[in-house]
Formats: sequence, C-alpha cells, structure tokens
Amino acid sequence: MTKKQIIRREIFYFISGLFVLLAGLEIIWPNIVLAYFNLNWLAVLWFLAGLYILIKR
Amino acid sequence: MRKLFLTKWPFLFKLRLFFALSALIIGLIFLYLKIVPGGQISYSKSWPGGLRSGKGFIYDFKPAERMSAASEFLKIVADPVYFSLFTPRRFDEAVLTIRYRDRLGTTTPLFEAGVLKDKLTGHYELRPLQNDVIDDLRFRWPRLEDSAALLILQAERNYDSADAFFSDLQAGQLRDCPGGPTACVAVYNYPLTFDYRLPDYAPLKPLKIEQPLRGPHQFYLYLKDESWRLSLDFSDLNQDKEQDPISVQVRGAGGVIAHETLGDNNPTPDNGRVEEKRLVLSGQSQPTGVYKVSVDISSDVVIARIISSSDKLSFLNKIWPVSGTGSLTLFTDAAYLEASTLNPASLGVITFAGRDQELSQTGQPFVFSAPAGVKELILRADDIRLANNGVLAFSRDSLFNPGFKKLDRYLSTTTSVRYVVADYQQPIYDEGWKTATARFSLGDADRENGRYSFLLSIPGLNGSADAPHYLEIKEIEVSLQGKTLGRRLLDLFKSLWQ
Repeated sequence: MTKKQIIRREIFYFISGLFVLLAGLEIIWPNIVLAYFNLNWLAVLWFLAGLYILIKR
Repeated sequence: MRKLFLTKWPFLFKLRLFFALSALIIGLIFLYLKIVPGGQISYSKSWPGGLRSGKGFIYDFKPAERMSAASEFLKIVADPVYFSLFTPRRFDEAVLTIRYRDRLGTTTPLFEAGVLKDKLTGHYELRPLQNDVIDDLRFRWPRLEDSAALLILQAERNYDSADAFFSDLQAGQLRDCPGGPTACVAVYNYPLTFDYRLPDYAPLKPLKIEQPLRGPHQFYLYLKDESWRLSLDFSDLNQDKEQDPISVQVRGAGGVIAHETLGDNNPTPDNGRVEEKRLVLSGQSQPTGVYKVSVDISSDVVIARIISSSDKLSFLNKIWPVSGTGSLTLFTDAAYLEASTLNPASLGVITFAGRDQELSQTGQPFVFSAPAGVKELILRADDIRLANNGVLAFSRDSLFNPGFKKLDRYLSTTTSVRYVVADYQQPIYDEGWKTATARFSLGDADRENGRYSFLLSIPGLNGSADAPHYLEIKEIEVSLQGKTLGRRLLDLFKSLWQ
C-alpha cells in the first residue's frame, strides 16, 4: 500500500471517528454540536471520502 | 523525543496520532463550549442571514403569520412574536440587545421583550425596549431624576429632589395631586410601593363569588387588623395532557403571608372527567392594608368558587368568566376594555359604560373605550377574556384599586397624571437603526430542553404582511452570565461537605 493510499484510508477513518464522536456528544448533550455545526456536512464528506477510496481501488 | 518521532516511529503511527489528537482537540472545543468555564458567553443572530453551517442559538421565531417574509430583515407586523434561546447550560442573567428600526404609529408606542417565567400560567417577565410616551414626555416635562435605573418626570416643577418626592409619596400627600398618589402617578417598569389605605373602610363582611373563572387570576384583598380566611374551589377539567398543579399565594407589603399548593397526581390528565379540588388559606390578624392573591393555575383549571372573609376584592388587569348561568355584571375603573373570545356562542353585544359594543369575531381582541371613573360592564354571555390596565370586580362596593396607573399605550398623560416614575433607558440612535437593551434574571426563568422562551411585544400591532406599521430587526444579541466552573465546583464540594 502506498503512502497516498494510507493517507486516504486514514482520512476516511478520521472522519468516521469524528462523526461518531460528534454524534455521541449530540446524543449526550442535545443541540451542543448542531448549534455550531450541521453534522450532515460531515456525513457528506464521509461519504465522498469512502467513495473516492473505492474508485481509486 | 523529536528525533524518535522523526526517525523511529512508523509513518502510520504518526498519522494516526495526528488524527487522534485532532479529534481530541475538536471534542475538547465542544466540551469547552458546553461547560462555558468562564461563566460568560454571547450568542447572536443577524439579518440578512449569511452562510451558516449550524442551527445557531437564537431560532424558532413564531408564529410565522406575524412576520413578513418580504423583508431581508426580521419584519414584525403583529404582536407578539416568540423565539427560543438555546443555552448549553443554565445562566443567571441575560442581557438582550436588539438593533432595529420601526415604522410604528401613535397607537403602538411600546416595544418590549420578555422571558418566560412560568410555563403553567404563561407568564412572561417584560422589560422595556422602547416607550414613545416616555421618550416624548422626557423632553416636555421637567426631569426630577434621570439616572440609569430611575427616571422621574413631573408635569410642573413641584419638587427639587427625588427624596422629597418619595417622602411625600409615602405620606400620601404629593403636591399638585388632589386625588391621591394612585390617581396622579404613572409607573413603568418600576416597583413603586405605597402603603394604601381605604379611607371609608367598614368592618369585614364575607364575600362569595360563584361565577367560575378560568385560568390564572390575580386579585387584591383589603384586610384589616382581624383574622382572615380565603377558600377557593377548583374544577380541573382534565382536557389537556399536562398535569395541572394549583398554587395560591397571598403577599402583603412585608412579603408572603400564606402559600398553599395542590399537586396533580392524576395519571391520565386528559381523561375529560372533572375533578373538584379545594384550597383554604387563613391567618390571624395581619397589618391593615392591601394583599395580593396570585392563583397560579393552567387554563385547564377553573376557579369554581371564591369565599373571602373580606368583601373588598378586585381582580387585577384581567378576568376570564366561564360556564356561568347567563348574563353577568362587572365593574371596572379602567378607561378601556379589551375583550376577546374563542367561543362563537359568546359573540354578541357587551354593554360597557352604558354603551352597547359589538364583539363580532372570534380570536380577535376588541378594544372599547369609555370615560374615566367606575363603569358598569354587562355581558350577555360569558367565556370572554376581559383585560384592561385597571381592576375588575363583581360589585361596585368590592372595587378598589391600590395600584398606580401603568404607563401603557392606553394611558393618556393629559388626564390626571402629574408624575411618571420609570426604570427605562431610551434606545440609542445610530445611522438609521436603534439599539435597545433589556436585562433579565434567568434564575427562575422556565428552561425546557435547554431552551429559554422569549417574546417580542408591540402591544396593539395587529397588521398583515403589507401593513404600513411594522418593526424590522437587524440583529439580536444575548449576553449571558452565570457561575464560573470554579464556582460551580466549589458549590458542589460545599454541598457534598454539608
């Protein structure tokens, strides 16, 4: 696996982890994340990152 | 360590460490914003709204039909408009700053903001943002006092100092005031107190009010140095899903003298079966004077009967008679009456001060005016909400008004008013926009799901989207102040220690 592939994969993992973290914070304290940031944008980013990895494969 | 990082650690490990630290920092930022360790934070919303990812903290402006979408700003065309303020934690105080411009007529001189204090009764604590009557009088009448928290205006230069004014006020002998202080002093947003005495007070006679009254009510009772008793029968209609607790508080000049509550343990509060309840308050001799009774109930509860040992009993500002047995006669001292109903069967003629007035539409407040003095009010049907800035009573003998006149949109300063006492600051004008500030205590404010409920009120504004009178808001900013993290931890340790 090349360095680029590793970076792409790790970015995808990072976005996945961040989504889980922020969604968790939102479940524990409702509105605390959504007031500042719409998680839909992160979900779109996560989807695009995953799609990019699949295409590159 | 740096050498180790650069040479020995594998690339994958370094990458993951970087992303893990990034996620941790993002998580800590949100945690910081949740806790607000410094105890101070500001949230704002401006129009026109730019590109914004989050939902924001100030939102849920409603009802939509009282605002116009035709403007790039928040255009209010009817009164009142509500909005929610989300806060990640509790705060003690809020300073609301609004930047706006208005095209309001002479019939809508007030612009006020309020915060919900009691969800059960729907009570909002109002604070002034703009009062055109005072702004006008401020330049026409001599100013006796004009400080940050107190404004005293006088029609003539009767006083040179606020101390002399308050001294005469407490003695009940204001200069240029033949009708007594309550007749010639108008107050606005100021807790002015006065030791009111009924000059021709006869010994107590019991009073029984059998007319059912729906929802929260407040009334004045005049008690002399004798034992007293107040019995209230309630009918809980059980028509909505909310629990219906009952609270009755009697407050005198020295504070609360009696307070009784009744919880609602009904597991099915919307079963439609009427529950009868009773609260009795009594006491030994109290200092002679006026006592204010607050009956805090939801509109799902009806006060079926009031039995009082004192026959001097006047309802303050509003009354909602329901389920009566036909026509009803009331008395009021206010120069106007605002009547509204949601019940088509209650539409018809109301006789106010000898003149027949038509209540012709449901859901719409009708305002009827009359000359000064005590007036008779005859209703052919009940279930009509009645409101004014005076008192209402079921007999002429019961009627008494110990309160000062409120400087609202109905008060004419050309009448007997000779003094105005207010806690009010004029808005600041800047490049065509006005900036007004209101301060609220949030300690006892209602907070549900992390949200405080606010309202913006322009009494009398009742237009449509293309109406000529409106108010446009450019920005709302709320600065919040509460306990710091250190203080909260200290309080926690103190409570654990005790």
